[in-house]
Amino acid sequence: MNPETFRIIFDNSPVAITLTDSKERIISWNKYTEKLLGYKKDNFYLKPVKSLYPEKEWKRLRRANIRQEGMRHHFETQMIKKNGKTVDVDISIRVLKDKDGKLTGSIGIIRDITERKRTNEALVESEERYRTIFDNSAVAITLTDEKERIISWNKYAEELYGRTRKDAYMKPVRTLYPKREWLRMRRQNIRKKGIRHHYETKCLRPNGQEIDIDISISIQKDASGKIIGSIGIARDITERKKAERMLRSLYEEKKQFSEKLKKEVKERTKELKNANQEIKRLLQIKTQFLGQVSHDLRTPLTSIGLMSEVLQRKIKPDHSTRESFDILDRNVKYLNYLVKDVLNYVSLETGRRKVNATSNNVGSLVREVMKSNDVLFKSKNIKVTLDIQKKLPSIYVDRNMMMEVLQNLISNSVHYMKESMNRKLDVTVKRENGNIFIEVKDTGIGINKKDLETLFHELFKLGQYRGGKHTGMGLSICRKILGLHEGRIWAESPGIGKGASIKFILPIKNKFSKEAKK
Amino acid sequence: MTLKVLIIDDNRDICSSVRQILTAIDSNYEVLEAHDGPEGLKKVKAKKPDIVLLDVMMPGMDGGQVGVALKENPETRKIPVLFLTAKTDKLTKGMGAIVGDDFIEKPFEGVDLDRRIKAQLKKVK
Repeated sequence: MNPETFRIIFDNSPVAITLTDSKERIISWNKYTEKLLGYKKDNFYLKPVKSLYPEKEWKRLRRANIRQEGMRHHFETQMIKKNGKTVDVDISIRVLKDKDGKLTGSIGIIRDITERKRTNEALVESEERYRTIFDNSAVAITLTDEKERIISWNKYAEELYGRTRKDAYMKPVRTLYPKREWLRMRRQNIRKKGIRHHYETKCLRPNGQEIDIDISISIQKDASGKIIGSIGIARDITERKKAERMLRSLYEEKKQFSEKLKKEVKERTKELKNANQEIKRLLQIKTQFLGQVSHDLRTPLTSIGLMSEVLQRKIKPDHSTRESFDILDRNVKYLNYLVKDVLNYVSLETGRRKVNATSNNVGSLVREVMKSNDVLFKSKNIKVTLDIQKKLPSIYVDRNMMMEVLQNLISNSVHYMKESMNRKLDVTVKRENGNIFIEVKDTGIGINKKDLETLFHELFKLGQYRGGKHTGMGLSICRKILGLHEGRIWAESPGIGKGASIKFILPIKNKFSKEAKK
Repeated sequence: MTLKVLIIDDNRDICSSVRQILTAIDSNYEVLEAHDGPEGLKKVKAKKPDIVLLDVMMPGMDGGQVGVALKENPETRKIPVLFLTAKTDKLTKGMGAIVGDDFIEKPFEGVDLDRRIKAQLKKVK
């Protein structure tokens, strides 16, 4: 290469090149040197090279013994620019000697490393920042190498795992876990999958204490896909687990409580059922007893009645004995009616007396019963009004039972109007909301409000005996009969002395009409 | 003319009452008593009553069985049977229609019984 070529390279190099003489004075430099330091050519000539360095840096350079060694590559230092500022440089120096080994000068190749320095600083800073994050994280961060040995971990990890950084360094990561948990984790195939988020396990402290953790693991691979290590980020979830356990125990408690409650309800229901059954059984016994007693009364009553008849025929009683016989006969008669009514009620209650339903016009039935009582009404001076709606539909009822109900209500009304001055009996029959509605209204003694309902209870009037057919069973029997016909009966009265009305309804369509259609 | 009545009832008071009232009402009545089924059947054979008054509820052989025995026997078939019953159920009423000729419900009055007996006897004649 000719000197001209060297000249071109020298001048156009993107590095600063300086030549010094034996006295360390600059004798030649290239353009880049001027650019780097902000000088012009003549400013440098024969300038001591020392003046280009801050004093501290020159001393460092001196200590490097370059003159003795003859060469030095990439010495990092600083140089002073024309404006007095320093510039970071990398300098390589070659000492020049003649044939006799006498120092003749040096060549310096200088590179501006400001950028590199800045980058480095930034890198350091960034690393510093990451370090800070790493160390101050509220999560335990563990880095392992390709052999699953711990190579780095943060402060929180020290706390969580109960080991210092020094203790943990190069220890197999599996020592952080109880054996069973490690095996369980192994089965998750995390190394193969590369990543696993929020895996819940336990870690083992050196004191044997196990801590609940949530760990996310990321496997690090190189460009060729070879595993080079892993990052594990773990959180202490003791509190959460505690809360979970508490919740679970609360839930269990609730479940147990509700099960206990269920069991108790079941038991109580059973008890109630048993009690109900017992009540049913007792009611049955009551009905049976009532039936049996009434039944058994019939034979002695027959004898008593017959004997009274016999005596009256034999004695031919005078006035006062007549009165005695009247009382005897009246009471025997009453007892006979009572026995009959009780037996009737019992047979309805036990179902021995069954509904024999046929198609009937209730209007005609009412008319018939009223007509058969005509003589009675006249003798008692009762004004009767009969209001029967036209074209009433026929319904399926037991004719005898219905007549019994109507006769009962009429007899009651007549009986309780004995003492009233204005004796009126109004009977209404009409169609109303799919029912046949019947009302028997009188101007009798009326009903106390509190008795409106009890009136229909069996044996209501017993103990208030006033003689005759009125045993007090009539309305109970009526209610039983209405019940068998899916109907309803109730009483209304404005009060004592103001009359009363008994009302009842019979559905036009009932189970008997349905059976008849089949 | 004597009216021979046999009453079969395990209750002796009823038997006695019936005998007393019938004879008090009509002196033509001659009332025989039996206190159970077999005794009754024996007396029917021996005394040939004009009518039998038969209680339904009796220990051992009940009124229904006695009635059936009377109606099955050609010799006694024509004797009217009047059931004395303390039961109102259909079975008893039906029984009266099938094996008996009538029934009268306890408690009954003497005059009513007298009327029923005479009505039955009229039918036979």
